[in-house]
Amino acid sequence: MVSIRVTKQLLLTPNMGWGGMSWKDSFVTITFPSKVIFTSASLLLLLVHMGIFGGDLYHFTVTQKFNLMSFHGTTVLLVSHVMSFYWALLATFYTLEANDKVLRGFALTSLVMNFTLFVGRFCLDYLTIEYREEIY
Amino acid sequence: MLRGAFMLWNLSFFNVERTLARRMQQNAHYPFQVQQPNVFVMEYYKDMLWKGALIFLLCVLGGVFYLKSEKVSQDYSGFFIYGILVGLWLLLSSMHKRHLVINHARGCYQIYIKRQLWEEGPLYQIYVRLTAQMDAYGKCFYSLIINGYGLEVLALASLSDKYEMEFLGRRIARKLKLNYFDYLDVSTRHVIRHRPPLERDRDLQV
Repeated sequence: MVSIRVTKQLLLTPNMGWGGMSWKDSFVTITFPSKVIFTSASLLLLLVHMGIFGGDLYHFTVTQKFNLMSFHGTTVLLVSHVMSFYWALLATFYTLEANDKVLRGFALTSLVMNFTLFVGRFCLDYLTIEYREEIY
Repeated sequence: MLRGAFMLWNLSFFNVERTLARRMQQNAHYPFQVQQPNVFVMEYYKDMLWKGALIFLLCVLGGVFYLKSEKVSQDYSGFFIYGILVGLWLLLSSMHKRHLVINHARGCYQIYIKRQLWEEGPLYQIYVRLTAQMDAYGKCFYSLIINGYGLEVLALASLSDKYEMEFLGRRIARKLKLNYFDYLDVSTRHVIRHRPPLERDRDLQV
């Protein structure tokens, strides 16, 4: 026998749209629909990557302290870029099927920005390849 | 053999459909329990709970060993940090117990997470379905799922190579009085028990 204590009792009528859920409920249970998770995760990773990219650009052009650039983390950084782009792509596929314009905007923004940032990272790494520490 | 809220955690790789049939012999309304007549309740934890915990533990252990090991020029500790974060996320997001209630008396289904009403909908939005995945040689592998609008997919049996699981799916749907859908979109084997209310002809009214 299973017993449930119902804390929130709704009387359902069809014109209420059968729903009692708002977006704030997500923060109660830390669960989102997968499209929201993928979009926000890729945006979060995008922010991190932009920070690292900005730091690299700053040290490359302004201070010219090349040992402060992210040469030691290239492997992790590239894998993380690819993961972020993949999540943005998944989020785009999910949101293109859903009928939510705001979410679709976010997902497409994330996709385009991730791609641009990846191209930027590639160019920067190509330009700075002479400045890497040489190991034999 | 796991029971109760951990019932869906059982890993079975061979004879998936026979395991399911044995379960259904023990409990005719598997995976639900009959609370009142026509009210079926199921409590479960998502299987992402142990997967997330496993990822978390592995990454913590790997990170500790990595920090103690000899350094090379590339720094790989970022992988472990990502793994810890992902594992923690999976752990946190599936930590709470879920209750799925199919209430035929009121004609709706409800899912409670952490004893809070999360989603509620009419019965035509929840269904039992056979899904198929095809491998490179064109052979189909069938899974039996319960899904619905706003629900998480519950896999009752996964990746069996026998289409006869369809029979079990129909039986589950009949016992729970839900819609049953075949793996093809257009099929004669769908069993429709609930359907959305017919739209009134609004265009014809002036």
